[in-house]
Amino acid sequence: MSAATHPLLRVDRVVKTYESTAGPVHAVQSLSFDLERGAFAALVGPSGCGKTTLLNAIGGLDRVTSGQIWIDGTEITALNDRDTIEFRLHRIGFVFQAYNLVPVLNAWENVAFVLELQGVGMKARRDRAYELLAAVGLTGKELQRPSQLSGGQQQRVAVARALASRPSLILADEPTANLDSKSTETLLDIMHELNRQEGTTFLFSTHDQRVIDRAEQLFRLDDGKLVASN
Amino acid sequence: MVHSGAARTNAAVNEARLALRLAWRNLGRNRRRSLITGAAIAFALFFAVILRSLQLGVYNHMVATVVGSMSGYVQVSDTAYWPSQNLDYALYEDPAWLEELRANPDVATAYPRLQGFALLSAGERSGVAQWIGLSPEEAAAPLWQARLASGSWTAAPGSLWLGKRLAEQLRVTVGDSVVALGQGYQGSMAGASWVVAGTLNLGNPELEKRSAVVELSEAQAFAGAYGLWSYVQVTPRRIELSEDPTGELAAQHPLAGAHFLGWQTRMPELIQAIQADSTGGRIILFVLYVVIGFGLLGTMIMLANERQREFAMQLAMGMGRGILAGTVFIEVLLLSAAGAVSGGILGRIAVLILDRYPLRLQGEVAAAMEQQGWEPILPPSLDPSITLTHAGVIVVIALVAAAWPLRTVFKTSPVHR
Ligand SMILES: Nc1ncnc2c1ncn2[C@@H]1O[C@H](COP(=O)(O)OP(=O)(O)O)[C@@H](O)[C@H]1O
Ligand SMILES: [Mg+2]
Repeated sequence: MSAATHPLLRVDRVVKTYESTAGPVHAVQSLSFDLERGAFAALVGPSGCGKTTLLNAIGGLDRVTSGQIWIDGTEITALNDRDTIEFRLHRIGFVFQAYNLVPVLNAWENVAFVLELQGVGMKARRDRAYELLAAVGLTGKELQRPSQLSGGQQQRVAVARALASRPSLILADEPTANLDSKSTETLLDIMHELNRQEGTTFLFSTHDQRVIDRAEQLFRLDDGKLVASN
Repeated sequence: MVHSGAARTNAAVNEARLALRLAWRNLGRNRRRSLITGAAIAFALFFAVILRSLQLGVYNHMVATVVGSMSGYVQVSDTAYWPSQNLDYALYEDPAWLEELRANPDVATAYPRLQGFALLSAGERSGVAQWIGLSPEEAAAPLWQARLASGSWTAAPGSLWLGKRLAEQLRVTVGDSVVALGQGYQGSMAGASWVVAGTLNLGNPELEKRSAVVELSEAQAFAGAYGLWSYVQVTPRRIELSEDPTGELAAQHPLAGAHFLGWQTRMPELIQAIQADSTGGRIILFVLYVVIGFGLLGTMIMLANERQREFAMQLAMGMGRGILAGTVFIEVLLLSAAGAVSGGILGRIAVLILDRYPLRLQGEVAAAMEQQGWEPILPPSLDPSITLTHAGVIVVIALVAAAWPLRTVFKTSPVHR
């Protein structure tokens, strides 16, 4: 694949089978799709259809049973553990449903967390964190600890953090699942705005219709298989 | 993915700082729990230090009473002197060697003595006594001065000082004459007539019944042992149980035909009694540590469970397991060190107070101790190694308990669900 033409993300016949005491669970079954640079896409489907499993595999948090995943020309399914961690640290941003933030770090420190691990100096990471907190509408909250922020504000900090190191791809697993509709609305506005302004590619999962309506591209999953995409 | 060496170095520095910051802040996260855990560690150490200091202090007190002033912590004698304590196995006086020994900074005092047995009689009454020839310097030392029950330390030739009970037994008082008969050096006959110049409190009833003191030159003349010492009684500067300077002194001050014997060698039954008793104390402390250890383990398990999701998230972000483990390790280290430092300081203060105002025993135990010639007090040992050792033990226990959350760090998968 040449750099100019390859898609940002290529999922190629990915299979993930969990071994459980009740026998094998086919969480993802030979699933393939491409995602273009700058996409704002959603994985949708009922609970248990394999969204989290797929996002974990794409993010390099978990190994696939078979198949390949390419991100920006790198086959991450071929990387060893060490390189996978490096890749995650530099190239992928994560937003989880909950437990996103380090409780003992304040908002800007949480945003700068990944930058700190990357070795970015103090001033540069604080400037970047303040800038991103402003972009997600949290100016003035920089020194607050997560426990002093609302659920919606915490998720916005998580989005800011996911963006901090300018990753190629941001993966968000049901980022609005714990939010009320107003906070959901705000978070999606912010994500969409950042997607447009910075050209960051977003792939999030959801089973919430309000969120589905906001996605520019949908991948519909059922029972570990891709049933529709547009 | 190529990252420059500089970036890697920066990352390592940042990670180390981050680990420290997280550890420090995590301590404040559940303040009450941190306080209780630290206090438990502090209390355990406080208790251990006091217990152990008192126990070792009592041994020191016991040893001081039994050997300190009479037979001595260390004796330098002819290699054949012990255990017969035969007058014939004497040392030739060596003032130059003695000077050198006394100049050793580890030596508090060193006094030569000549010692033997004689039959003492006054009128109809008589008794067997161990006579000790004391050098004038030793007799002038505060210890012997304080022992005088009646009379005075006169320099008059032919003076004799009797153990209080021996004087009673012979029915003599200051100014009375006592005749001494015995075997002298190398089978010679020894005889003298001495005048009682004083009586002595020796702390121990046995000693008071059988001890008689004369001046060293008087003793040498009596026994015909001119220019001879039975032994040199040495009191080292450090007399803690944990220290036995005998070997060192022997190496530094060799004397032909002589050897250095510590009280531990001369009185194996005393050291055995101490060791047996000490084991009891160790068992109590062991139980205390086991209890504290399990308490800490419980706290650590709680901590690990609470943080598992946070660990997973941090790993997912790209934090190394080593750094995450380091964070937990530093947190536990800080917590246990804080507990150990405060417990150690409090324990030390308590020990110093107990040294100033020693616990005084009452009732039967006190009476029994006094009978044995011991002052009925429990003076603590001031050996700082007690505090340091137990502080070390408790920090190690805390770090062993930390193995649980560390295991959690290494077992947690970054997979989120
Ligand atoms: N660790 C696991 N072991 C066994 N089965 C699992 C495991 N994780 C997920 N599953 C199963 O895989 C399927 C897909 O789960 P998941 O990816 O979490 O779905 P979703 O995120 O869409 O709700 C479900 O049937 C789930 O029970
Ligand atoms: Mg899920």
